[in-house]
Amino acid sequence: MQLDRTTSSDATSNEAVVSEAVGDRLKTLYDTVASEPVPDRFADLLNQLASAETRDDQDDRSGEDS
Amino acid sequence: MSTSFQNGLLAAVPNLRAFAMSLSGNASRADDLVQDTLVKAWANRASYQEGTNLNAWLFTILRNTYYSLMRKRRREVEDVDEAAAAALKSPAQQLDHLHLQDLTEALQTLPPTQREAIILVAASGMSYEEAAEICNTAPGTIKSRVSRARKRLAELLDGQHPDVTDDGSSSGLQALAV
Repeated sequence: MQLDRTTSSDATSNEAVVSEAVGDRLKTLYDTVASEPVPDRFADLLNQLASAETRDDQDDRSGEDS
Repeated sequence: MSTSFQNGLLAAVPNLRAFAMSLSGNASRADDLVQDTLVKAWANRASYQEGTNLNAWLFTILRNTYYSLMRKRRREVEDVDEAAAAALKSPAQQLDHLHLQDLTEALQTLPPTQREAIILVAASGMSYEEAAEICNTAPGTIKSRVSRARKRLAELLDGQHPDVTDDGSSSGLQALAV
């Protein structure tokens, strides 16, 4: 553990420990949200966007044909 | 192309939500940000180069969306925002220890550029180079922002200033590590 290391300054060693702890907790926060199931609204939205595009394509084509 | 792009976007949603939540500190605002990001990403999909880092590309869009929303909100509710900003500067002691909610609040007290830097590097696992690209700055700048953010968060979450530890009374800081 880093605290056991003899450094020129205790403050330096503490800073490293605290910094690591902050990093761990940030990662926990981030991973907690990232591991939640994705709300349906996002899949629905993407399906809507994709099907709107398909409709546009068809419109374009029929426009060219006429 | 568009089906795999669609799947790629969907697969990125968990990371986008985590980034948005860390950045905005508010779950419903975070999901609105993700939604706006997906709509913009879809509209601009021609500018995405296949084979490059999709998450980084999406993070860039989300970040830009976040900042333009913040600017818009500031214009709309200048007074309310000032009150909110004042509230954010409340004493660090008010932040309890070791809870994720507190960390979310502590993050909100950081300058936005420090906040995004530490989230990208320490939480989402981006390299300094990737984070620099997303934030449109140099890796060295990201590095110093992360370092300042870590220091500030450590102070806030510990409820004391680093000067206090100069005399060796470091028990509070060490408690953070357990």
